[in-house]
Amino acid sequence: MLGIGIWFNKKVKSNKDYFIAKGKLGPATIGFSFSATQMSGSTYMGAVGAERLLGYNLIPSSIASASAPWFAYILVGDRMRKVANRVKSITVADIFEARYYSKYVGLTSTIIMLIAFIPMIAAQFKAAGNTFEVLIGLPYWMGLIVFGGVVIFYTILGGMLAVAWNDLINGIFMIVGFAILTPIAVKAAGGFAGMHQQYAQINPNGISLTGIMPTIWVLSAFVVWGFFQIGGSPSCVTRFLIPEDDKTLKTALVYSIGVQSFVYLTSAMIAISGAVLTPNLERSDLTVPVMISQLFPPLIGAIIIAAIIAAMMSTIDSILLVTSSLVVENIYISFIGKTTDRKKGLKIARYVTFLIGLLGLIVAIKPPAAILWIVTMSFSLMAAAFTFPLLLGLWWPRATKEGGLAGMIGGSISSIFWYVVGYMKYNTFDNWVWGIWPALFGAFISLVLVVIVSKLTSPPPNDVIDIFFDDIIVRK
Amino acid sequence: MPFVSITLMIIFLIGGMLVILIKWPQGPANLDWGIWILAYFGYAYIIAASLFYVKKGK
Repeated sequence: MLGIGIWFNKKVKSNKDYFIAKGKLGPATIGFSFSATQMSGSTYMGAVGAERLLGYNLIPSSIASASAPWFAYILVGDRMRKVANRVKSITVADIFEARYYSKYVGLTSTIIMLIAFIPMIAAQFKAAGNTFEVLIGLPYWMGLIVFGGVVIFYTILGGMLAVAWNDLINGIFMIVGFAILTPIAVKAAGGFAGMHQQYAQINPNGISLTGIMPTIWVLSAFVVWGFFQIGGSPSCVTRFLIPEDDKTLKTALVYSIGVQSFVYLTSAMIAISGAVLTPNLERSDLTVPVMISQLFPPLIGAIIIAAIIAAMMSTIDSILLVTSSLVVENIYISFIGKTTDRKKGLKIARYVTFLIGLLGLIVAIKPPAAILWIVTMSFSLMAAAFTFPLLLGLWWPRATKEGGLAGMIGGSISSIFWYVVGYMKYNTFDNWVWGIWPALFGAFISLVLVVIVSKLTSPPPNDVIDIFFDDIIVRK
Repeated sequence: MPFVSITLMIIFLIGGMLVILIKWPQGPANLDWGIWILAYFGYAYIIAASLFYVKKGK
């Protein structure tokens, strides 16, 4: 990992190279990077643990998560790529700024993303420190420093080039890890049919698509984890700004959908077999590590543990880089420094990446409870704020800056409101009124606001229409 | 606009929700047919739909 950072250090010549490596990555690196960013270490730990408890009630979420690249690449990917080439975008906030012809729309999207991302960096570091503690036996603080140090170092040196290539390697590790674990675990649990027969006895409601969780929760999860990744994962959709041509992006989709389908399909089988093989396990998130210790010799176990750590790295490096890009491009360069010097921009980018990484590490030593609450809400916050302003901004010429701004602010506030209403009723942020996900509630309000406010305000100027919709609108 | 892909997405979303809502008879390997359709054949559907878009661009 460090070697990749050092290798790409000399190839990075400007802040644009550093943040998006424009035109310098092929389809495999873009596709794997999109997927490895979306699937964190939690895919191996927390998600497998949850699937073990909820069984097939959680499977609609899994297949929805696997379908996320299909929605994202087709609905926003190709148009973002075209527009990014025209307006020289480096961040998703640049796309918002250009489409909604207002620096303040760009700034609003930046602030919402920073509110979600900065605590997420600390939380990801914390999860990594805990994982090192459990899997390798390192003290928490030492795991934090080793993991954080490696990720921050290679991200500072190589920027997006290092991040994407590391994501490719980490993605291959993830596939190899699950490819080794799945057949052996299923066989040890009594084969495919036998495993399900035993699981039905342990968890009778988990052997159908509903039963443990309310039906509306399962339905909401099915919609949220696929379609709403468009807005909920800006660190993933940033990958659409990298390629210069259509073919690279389309081929990248093949990699992303293949990787994610494989990982989510096999993770379900691992979770079910894990429940059968380790029925008395108290901490469900330790299903995979315990199975590894039971089923494999240390060398193979080490490969799978490396895959778990690799998955964590792939998520955090992307969030770190996208957070730095927002601070540098959409706050510092847009409002404070206004530098066009490429070398100075690169220097600032590296300093900011270091400072944000360091801040994340310091907060991760003992994160306050509020940070963990924000992390719980961050996906819904961004999905509600950005999905429809981005989608309609790219496909509906009539969307105006007032509509976009109302959609972002209204969507984010509504999703938080829905969390608070749920908290007041159930005393937890994990249960929501009628089982409706806050992302869904907030996004609905956002959609209504974008459409109504846009209809009530003046249409966008012609130069914006020309840049964004020259292939849709033919002027007389 | 990729109308065919958008249609396939709508079929996936609405069809998937119907599969979740319907009570299905028992199928092979101790799983009901709803699980087979959504949790196993569903992956084949999204992969095939993605490949269709990559080939045809529609």
